[in-house]
Amino acid sequence: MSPLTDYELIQSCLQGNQDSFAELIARYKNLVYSVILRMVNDREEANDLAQDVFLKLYKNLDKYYPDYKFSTWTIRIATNHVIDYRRRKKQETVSMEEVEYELGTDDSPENAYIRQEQKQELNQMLVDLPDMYKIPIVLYHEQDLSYQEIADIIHEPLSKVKNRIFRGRRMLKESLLNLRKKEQAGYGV
Amino acid sequence: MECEKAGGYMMKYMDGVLAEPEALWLNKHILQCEHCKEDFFLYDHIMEHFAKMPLCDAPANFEERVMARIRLLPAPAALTDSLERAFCGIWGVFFVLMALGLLLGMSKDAVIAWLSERAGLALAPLAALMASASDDVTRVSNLFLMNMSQFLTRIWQFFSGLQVILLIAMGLLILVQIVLYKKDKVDTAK
Ligand SMILES: [Zn+2]
Repeated sequence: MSPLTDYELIQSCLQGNQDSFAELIARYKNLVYSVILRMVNDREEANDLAQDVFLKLYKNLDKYYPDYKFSTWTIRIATNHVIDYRRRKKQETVSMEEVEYELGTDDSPENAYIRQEQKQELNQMLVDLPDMYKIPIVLYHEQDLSYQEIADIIHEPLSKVKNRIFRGRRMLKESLLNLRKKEQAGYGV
Repeated sequence: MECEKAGGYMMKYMDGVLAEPEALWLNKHILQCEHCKEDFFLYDHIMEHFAKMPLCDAPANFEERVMARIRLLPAPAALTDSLERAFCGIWGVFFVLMALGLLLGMSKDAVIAWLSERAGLALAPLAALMASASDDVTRVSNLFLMNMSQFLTRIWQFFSGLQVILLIAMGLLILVQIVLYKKDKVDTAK
Protein backbone atom coordinates (compact mmCIF):
# COMPACT_ATOMS: atom_id res chain seq x y z
CA MET A 1 0.00 0.00 0.00
CA SER A 2 1.48 3.33 -1.03
CA PRO A 3 1.53 6.06 1.62
CA LEU A 4 -1.29 8.58 1.55
CA THR A 5 -0.62 11.92 -0.13
CA ASP A 6 -0.71 15.08 1.98
CA TYR A 7 -4.06 15.97 0.49
CA GLU A 8 -5.55 12.57 1.32
CA LEU A 9 -4.31 12.93 4.88
CA ILE A 10 -5.92 16.36 5.13
CA GLN A 11 -9.23 15.01 3.85
CA SER A 12 -9.05 12.19 6.37
CA CYS A 13 -8.35 14.76 9.08
CA LEU A 14 -11.35 16.82 8.09
CA GLN A 15 -13.47 13.69 8.49
CA GLY A 16 -12.40 13.56 12.13
CA ASN A 17 -9.38 11.28 11.94
CA GLN A 18 -6.81 13.00 14.15
CA ASP A 19 -4.14 10.35 13.54
CA SER A 20 -3.84 11.63 9.99
CA PHE A 21 -2.73 14.95 11.39
CA ALA A 22 -0.08 13.22 13.49
CA GLU A 23 1.28 11.84 10.21
CA LEU A 24 1.35 15.34 8.69
CA ILE A 25 3.25 16.61 11.73
CA ALA A 26 5.77 13.79 11.35
CA ARG A 27 6.31 14.79 7.72
CA TYR A 28 6.81 18.51 8.25
CA LYS A 29 7.93 19.07 11.84
CA ASN A 30 11.64 19.32 10.95
CA LEU A 31 11.01 21.74 8.11
CA VAL A 32 8.81 24.01 10.22
CA TYR A 33 11.07 23.79 13.24
CA SER A 34 14.30 24.57 11.40
CA VAL A 35 12.83 27.49 9.46
CA ILE A 36 11.50 28.97 12.71
CA LEU A 37 14.77 28.30 14.52
CA ARG A 38 16.63 30.30 11.86
CA MET A 39 14.21 33.14 12.42
CA VAL A 40 14.26 33.25 16.23
CA ASN A 41 17.61 31.56 17.02
CA ASP A 42 16.34 30.05 20.26
CA ARG A 43 15.46 26.38 20.55
CA GLU A 44 12.87 26.71 23.29
CA GLU A 45 11.13 29.57 21.53
CA ALA A 46 11.28 27.77 18.19
CA ASN A 47 9.73 24.69 19.77
CA ASP A 48 6.80 26.68 21.19
CA LEU A 49 6.28 28.59 17.96
CA ALA A 50 6.43 25.43 15.84
CA GLN A 51 3.79 23.83 18.05
CA ASP A 52 1.59 26.91 17.67
CA VAL A 53 2.04 26.74 13.92
CA PHE A 54 0.80 23.15 13.78
CA LEU A 55 -2.20 24.07 15.91
CA LYS A 56 -2.91 26.92 13.53
CA LEU A 57 -2.58 24.57 10.57
CA TYR A 58 -5.00 22.15 12.20
CA LYS A 59 -7.58 24.85 12.87
CA ASN A 60 -7.34 26.11 9.29
CA LEU A 61 -7.16 22.78 7.47
CA ASP A 62 -10.48 23.46 5.72
CA LYS A 63 -8.92 26.56 4.18
CA TYR A 64 -6.16 24.61 2.44
CA TYR A 65 -6.55 24.27 -1.30
CA PRO A 66 -4.22 22.00 -3.23
CA ASP A 67 -3.19 24.77 -5.66
CA TYR A 68 0.06 24.85 -3.72
CA LYS A 69 2.02 22.10 -2.08
CA PHE A 70 1.13 21.53 1.56
CA SER A 71 4.74 22.31 2.50
CA THR A 72 4.45 25.71 0.79
CA TRP A 73 1.29 26.54 2.70
CA THR A 74 2.91 25.29 5.91
CA ILE A 75 5.99 27.48 5.60
CA ARG A 76 3.87 30.47 4.67
CA ILE A 77 1.85 30.06 7.86
CA ALA A 78 5.03 29.44 9.87
CA THR A 79 6.86 32.56 8.63
CA ASN A 80 3.77 34.74 9.02
CA HIS A 81 3.25 33.40 12.51
CA VAL A 82 6.81 34.25 13.55
CA ILE A 83 6.53 37.74 12.04
CA ASP A 84 3.26 38.32 13.91
CA TYR A 85 4.77 36.97 17.09
CA ARG A 86 7.74 39.30 16.75
CA ARG A 87 5.51 42.24 16.09
CA ARG A 88 3.65 41.44 19.28
CA LYS A 89 6.84 40.92 21.23
CA LYS A 90 8.42 44.05 19.73
CA GLN A 91 11.98 43.61 20.85
CA GLU A 92 13.97 40.64 19.79
CA THR A 93 16.07 38.64 22.21
CA VAL A 94 18.79 36.47 20.79
CA SER A 95 20.72 33.91 22.78
CA MET A 96 23.54 32.46 20.74
CA GLU A 97 24.48 29.79 23.28
CA GLU A 98 21.35 27.91 22.35
CA VAL A 99 22.58 27.05 18.89
CA GLU A 100 25.31 24.45 19.06
CA TYR A 101 27.45 23.16 16.26
CA GLU A 102 29.35 19.97 15.81
CA LEU A 103 33.05 20.57 15.34
CA GLY A 104 35.53 18.70 13.20
CA THR A 105 37.45 16.25 15.42
CA ASP A 106 40.73 16.64 13.53
CA ASP A 107 41.02 20.32 14.47
CA SER A 108 43.31 21.65 17.13
CA PRO A 109 41.41 23.30 20.02
CA GLU A 110 42.50 26.77 18.90
CA ASN A 111 41.40 26.15 15.33
CA ALA A 112 38.18 24.68 16.54
CA TYR A 113 37.62 27.76 18.66
CA ILE A 114 38.26 30.13 15.77
CA ARG A 115 36.03 28.13 13.45
CA GLN A 116 33.30 28.07 16.06
CA GLU A 117 33.63 31.83 16.44
CA GLN A 118 33.39 32.39 12.69
CA LYS A 119 30.40 30.11 12.39
CA GLN A 120 28.62 31.93 15.16
CA GLU A 121 29.46 35.26 13.61
CA LEU A 122 28.06 34.26 10.23
CA ASN A 123 25.03 32.81 11.93
CA GLN A 124 24.55 36.04 13.82
CA MET A 125 24.80 37.98 10.55
CA LEU A 126 22.10 35.79 9.11
CA VAL A 127 19.90 36.36 12.16
CA ASP A 128 20.50 40.10 11.87
CA LEU A 129 19.30 40.24 8.25
CA PRO A 130 15.85 41.78 7.90
CA ASP A 131 13.11 39.14 7.48
CA MET A 132 12.45 40.10 3.87
CA TYR A 133 15.97 38.92 2.95
CA LYS A 134 16.49 36.32 5.63
CA ILE A 135 13.41 34.23 4.90
CA PRO A 136 14.15 33.73 1.18
CA ILE A 137 17.86 33.13 1.91
CA VAL A 138 17.12 30.49 4.54
CA LEU A 139 14.51 28.79 2.36
CA TYR A 140 16.80 28.78 -0.65
CA HIS A 141 20.17 27.96 0.84
CA GLU A 142 19.21 25.90 3.85
CA GLN A 143 15.94 24.27 2.86
CA ASP A 144 16.86 23.92 -0.82
CA LEU A 145 13.55 25.31 -2.04
CA SER A 146 13.31 26.67 -5.58
CA TYR A 147 12.77 30.33 -6.44
CA GLN A 148 9.25 29.45 -7.54
CA GLU A 149 8.42 27.71 -4.27
CA ILE A 150 9.68 30.71 -2.32
CA ALA A 151 7.65 33.04 -4.54
CA ASP A 152 4.56 30.96 -3.68
CA ILE A 153 5.36 31.13 0.03
CA ILE A 154 5.94 34.85 0.33
CA HIS A 155 3.37 35.78 -2.34
CA GLU A 156 5.79 37.83 -4.40
CA PRO A 157 6.82 37.59 -8.05
CA LEU A 158 9.83 35.48 -9.00
CA SER A 159 11.90 38.54 -9.92
CA LYS A 160 11.44 40.01 -6.46
CA VAL A 161 12.45 36.75 -4.80
CA LYS A 162 15.65 36.62 -6.87
CA ASN A 163 16.37 40.24 -6.08
CA ARG A 164 15.97 39.70 -2.38
CA ILE A 165 18.18 36.64 -2.37
CA PHE A 166 20.87 38.48 -4.36
CA ARG A 167 20.65 41.48 -2.04
CA GLY A 168 20.66 39.26 1.03
CA ARG A 169 23.84 37.54 -0.16
CA ARG A 170 25.46 40.89 -0.83
CA MET A 171 24.48 42.09 2.64
CA LEU A 172 25.98 38.97 4.22
CA LYS A 173 29.14 39.46 2.20
CA GLU A 174 29.40 43.09 3.29
CA SER A 175 28.97 42.18 6.96
CA LEU A 176 31.62 39.48 6.64
CA LEU A 177 33.95 41.92 4.89
CA ASN A 178 33.45 44.54 7.60
CA LEU A 179 34.14 41.94 10.25
CA ARG A 180 37.36 40.84 8.55
CA LYS A 181 38.50 44.46 8.26
CA LYS A 182 37.77 45.04 11.94
CA GLU A 183 39.68 41.89 12.87
CA GLN A 184 42.66 42.92 10.75
CA ALA A 185 42.69 46.37 12.32
CA GLY A 186 42.60 44.71 15.73
CA TYR A 187 45.61 42.50 14.95
CA GLY A 188 47.51 45.46 13.51
CA VAL A 189 47.47 47.36 16.80
CA MET B 1 31.29 47.23 -16.02
CA GLU B 2 33.34 44.04 -15.97
CA CYS B 3 33.01 43.84 -12.19
CA GLU B 4 29.23 44.12 -12.48
CA LYS B 5 29.23 41.23 -14.93
CA ALA B 6 31.43 39.28 -12.54
CA GLY B 7 28.97 40.00 -9.71
CA GLY B 8 26.14 38.58 -11.83
CA TYR B 9 28.17 35.48 -12.59
CA MET B 10 28.89 35.02 -8.90
CA MET B 11 25.14 34.96 -8.25
CA LYS B 12 24.77 32.33 -10.99
CA TYR B 13 27.63 30.42 -9.42
CA MET B 14 25.81 30.39 -6.08
CA ASP B 15 22.66 29.21 -7.85
CA GLY B 16 24.65 26.40 -9.43
CA VAL B 17 23.73 27.54 -12.95
CA LEU B 18 27.02 29.02 -14.15
CA ALA B 19 27.88 27.73 -17.63
CA GLU B 20 31.43 26.64 -18.43
CA PRO B 21 32.41 29.63 -20.62
CA GLU B 22 31.04 31.94 -17.93
CA ALA B 23 33.06 30.13 -15.28
CA LEU B 24 36.21 30.52 -17.38
CA TRP B 25 35.53 34.21 -17.88
CA LEU B 26 34.92 34.71 -14.15
CA ASN B 27 38.08 32.85 -13.30
CA LYS B 28 40.09 35.08 -15.60
CA HIS B 29 38.52 38.22 -14.16
CA ILE B 30 39.18 37.18 -10.58
CA LEU B 31 42.86 36.67 -11.36
CA GLN B 32 43.06 40.27 -12.53
CA CYS B 33 40.67 42.03 -10.15
CA GLU B 34 41.53 42.10 -6.45
CA HIS B 35 38.11 43.44 -5.46
CA CYS B 36 36.15 40.67 -7.18
CA LYS B 37 38.58 38.09 -5.90
CA GLU B 38 37.87 39.17 -2.34
CA ASP B 39 34.13 39.12 -3.01
CA PHE B 40 34.31 35.69 -4.56
CA PHE B 41 36.08 34.17 -1.57
CA LEU B 42 33.69 35.83 0.86
CA TYR B 43 30.72 34.42 -1.06
CA ASP B 44 32.40 31.05 -1.17
CA HIS B 45 32.87 31.16 2.57
CA ILE B 46 29.18 32.01 3.08
CA MET B 47 28.09 29.16 0.78
CA GLU B 48 30.34 26.78 2.64
CA HIS B 49 28.71 27.90 5.85
CA PHE B 50 25.27 27.20 4.43
CA ALA B 51 26.34 23.78 3.21
CA LYS B 52 27.66 22.89 6.66
CA MET B 53 24.74 24.27 8.57
CA PRO B 54 23.23 21.28 10.37
CA LEU B 55 19.56 20.71 9.56
CA CYS B 56 17.78 21.01 12.84
CA ASP B 57 15.41 18.28 13.89
CA ALA B 58 12.36 19.12 15.96
CA PRO B 59 12.58 18.01 19.62
CA ALA B 60 11.96 14.31 20.24
CA ASN B 61 8.47 14.50 21.72
CA PHE B 62 7.25 17.19 19.35
CA GLU B 63 4.38 15.21 17.77
CA GLU B 64 3.03 14.01 21.10
CA ARG B 65 3.04 17.52 22.53
CA VAL B 66 1.21 18.97 19.54
CA MET B 67 -1.29 16.10 19.43
CA ALA B 68 -1.99 16.48 23.16
CA ARG B 69 -2.91 20.11 22.54
CA ILE B 70 -4.94 19.22 19.46
CA ARG B 71 -7.01 16.61 21.31
CA LEU B 72 -8.30 19.41 23.50
CA LEU B 73 -9.68 21.14 20.41
CA PRO B 74 -12.89 20.37 18.55
CA ALA B 75 -12.56 18.51 15.23
CA PRO B 76 -11.35 20.72 12.37
CA ALA B 77 -14.05 22.71 10.68
CA ALA B 78 -15.51 20.69 7.83
CA LEU B 79 -18.00 21.56 5.13
CA THR B 80 -20.94 21.09 7.50
CA ASP B 81 -19.65 24.09 9.40
CA SER B 82 -20.46 26.51 6.63
CA LEU B 83 -24.05 25.20 6.59
CA GLU B 84 -24.20 25.66 10.34
CA ARG B 85 -22.90 29.17 9.98
CA ALA B 86 -25.57 29.95 7.39
CA PHE B 87 -28.28 28.70 9.74
CA CYS B 88 -26.82 30.77 12.56
CA GLY B 89 -26.97 33.82 10.31
CA ILE B 90 -30.63 33.23 9.45
CA TRP B 91 -31.53 32.72 13.10
CA GLY B 92 -29.54 35.80 14.07
CA VAL B 93 -31.43 38.00 11.60
CA PHE B 94 -34.73 36.48 12.73
CA PHE B 95 -34.06 37.24 16.38
CA VAL B 96 -32.87 40.76 15.71
CA LEU B 97 -36.03 41.50 13.72
CA MET B 98 -38.14 39.95 16.44
CA ALA B 99 -36.44 42.03 19.14
CA LEU B 100 -36.90 45.19 17.08
CA GLY B 101 -40.58 44.37 16.57
CA LEU B 102 -40.98 43.79 20.29
CA LEU B 103 -39.33 47.10 21.14
CA LEU B 104 -41.46 48.93 18.62
CA GLY B 105 -44.58 47.19 19.96
CA MET B 106 -43.70 48.11 23.53
CA SER B 107 -43.18 51.78 22.72
CA LYS B 108 -45.85 52.08 20.05
CA ASP B 109 -47.98 54.54 22.02
CA ALA B 110 -45.05 56.92 22.39
CA VAL B 111 -44.21 56.67 18.69
CA ILE B 112 -47.81 57.29 17.64
CA ALA B 113 -48.08 60.28 19.98
CA TRP B 114 -44.84 61.71 18.62
CA LEU B 115 -46.01 61.30 15.04
CA SER B 116 -49.45 62.91 15.66
CA GLU B 117 -47.87 65.87 17.46
CA ARG B 118 -45.93 66.75 14.34
CA ALA B 119 -48.94 67.54 12.23
CA GLY B 120 -46.94 70.08 10.27
CA LEU B 121 -44.89 67.30 8.81
CA ALA B 122 -48.02 65.71 7.36
CA LEU B 123 -47.30 62.60 9.35
CA ALA B 124 -50.83 62.31 10.76
CA PRO B 125 -51.94 59.72 8.13
CA LEU B 126 -48.90 57.64 8.98
CA ALA B 127 -49.76 57.81 12.67
CA ALA B 128 -53.32 56.74 11.96
CA LEU B 129 -52.10 53.86 9.79
CA MET B 130 -49.68 52.78 12.49
CA ALA B 131 -52.33 52.98 15.17
CA SER B 132 -54.70 50.72 13.24
CA ALA B 133 -51.91 48.32 12.35
CA SER B 134 -50.74 48.17 15.94
CA ASP B 135 -54.29 47.43 17.05
CA ASP B 136 -54.28 44.44 14.69
CA VAL B 137 -50.92 43.31 16.01
CA THR B 138 -52.12 43.61 19.59
CA ARG B 139 -55.22 41.56 18.80
CA VAL B 140 -53.20 38.81 17.09
CA SER B 141 -50.55 38.70 19.78
CA ASN B 142 -53.17 38.54 22.52
CA LEU B 143 -54.77 35.61 20.72
CA PHE B 144 -51.37 33.96 20.42
CA LEU B 145 -50.55 34.50 24.10
CA MET B 146 -53.92 33.11 25.14
CA ASN B 147 -53.45 29.98 23.04
CA MET B 148 -49.93 29.65 24.32
CA SER B 149 -50.98 29.77 27.95
CA GLN B 150 -53.68 27.19 27.28
CA PHE B 151 -51.09 24.97 25.61
CA LEU B 152 -48.69 25.33 28.55
CA THR B 153 -51.43 24.46 31.05
CA ARG B 154 -52.23 21.32 29.09
CA ILE B 155 -48.55 20.34 29.01
CA TRP B 156 -48.27 20.95 32.72
CA GLN B 157 -51.32 18.74 33.31
CA PHE B 158 -49.77 16.05 31.12
CA PHE B 159 -46.49 16.07 33.05
CA SER B 160 -47.97 16.35 36.47
CA GLY B 161 -48.73 12.65 36.59
CA LEU B 162 -46.44 9.66 36.95
CA GLN B 163 -45.32 10.26 33.40
CA VAL B 164 -42.92 12.95 34.51
CA ILE B 165 -40.75 10.49 36.44
CA LEU B 166 -40.71 8.12 33.50
CA LEU B 167 -39.68 10.91 31.14
CA ILE B 168 -36.88 12.14 33.39
CA ALA B 169 -35.57 8.60 33.72
CA MET B 170 -35.54 8.23 29.93
CA GLY B 171 -33.76 11.55 29.51
CA LEU B 172 -31.08 10.54 32.00
CA LEU B 173 -30.57 7.26 30.20
CA ILE B 174 -30.02 9.03 26.89
CA LEU B 175 -27.58 11.45 28.55
CA VAL B 176 -25.52 8.59 29.99
CA GLN B 177 -25.43 6.95 26.56
CA ILE B 178 -24.13 10.14 24.96
CA VAL B 179 -21.42 10.57 27.60
CA LEU B 180 -20.29 6.95 27.20
CA TYR B 181 -20.22 7.27 23.40
CA LYS B 182 -18.09 10.44 23.53
CA LYS B 183 -15.67 8.89 26.01
CA ASP B 184 -15.29 5.88 23.74
CA LYS B 185 -14.58 8.10 20.76
CA VAL B 186 -11.85 9.98 22.65
CA ASP B 187 -10.25 6.75 23.83
CA THR B 188 -10.09 5.21 20.38
CA ALA B 189 -8.65 8.40 18.99
CA LYS B 190 -5.65 8.08 21.31
ZN1 LIG C 1 36.21 43.04 -10.76
